[in-house]
Amino acid sequence: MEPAVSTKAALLQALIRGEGYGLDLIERVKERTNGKVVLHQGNVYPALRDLERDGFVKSWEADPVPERGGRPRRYYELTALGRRASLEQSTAVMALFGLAVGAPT
Amino acid sequence: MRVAVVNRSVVVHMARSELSAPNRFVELRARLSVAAEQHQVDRIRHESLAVDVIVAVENERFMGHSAGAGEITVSVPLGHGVGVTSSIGRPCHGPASRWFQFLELLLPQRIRDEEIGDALEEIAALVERSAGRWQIRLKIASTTFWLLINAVREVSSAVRGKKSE
Repeated sequence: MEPAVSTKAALLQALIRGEGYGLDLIERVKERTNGKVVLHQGNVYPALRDLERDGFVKSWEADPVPERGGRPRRYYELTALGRRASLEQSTAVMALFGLAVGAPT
Repeated sequence: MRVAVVNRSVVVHMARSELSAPNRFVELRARLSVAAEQHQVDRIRHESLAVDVIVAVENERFMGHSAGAGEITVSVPLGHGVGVTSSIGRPCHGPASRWFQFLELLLPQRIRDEEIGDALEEIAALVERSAGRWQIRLKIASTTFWLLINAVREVSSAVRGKKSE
């Protein structure tokens, strides 16, 4: 069965809870969905770069991290546009599943 | 277990039986710390070195060298461009950092830092958890595959972007 949400949608939802980097966002989605949605490393990074190109997220490099062989982590954060898109998306999904307040039954 | 710095390399001597000891990482890190302080290896290099040394030692265990008596020797150069040789005279092909350093030559800077960095972080976590050899190899293989695919995607999207301007 296909995943319940697209990689970009899952990343936007994960970023609502605050900034994060690739590996951290993969873990965040996995934890939040009890392992039901597992993002694939092959899709996550291109999706993050696309989201940045489209103006939904911005990114920056943090200080080098020893466990990464001295490479920096790249953190992502929602922009105002990304936050709005993310909220609209979650409202739409909740309405689809009949969870929104006042949703027709 | 003995850790020494010889000719700009960290050299670890371990009894074969120590390769499977549950506290091997704790002891190795403690001894590396002492060696790093004595030879003034900066903290980042020291930490990344610790990961390289642990991966090299784990590789010896995965290769089945923990059986029998005697000692193994693992050597990791201090300088940039980590290469690892083992006691039995052939290169260890396990260390992820060595392979990724080769791949770095083919990849854009952003992919290098982001994707290789995340992969190394995950591999370090797998090694710390004493994950199986196949898990680490699978991770290295899948990362290599996706790094190359994503590099092609990046280059082609950059070319498309330039053409549309």
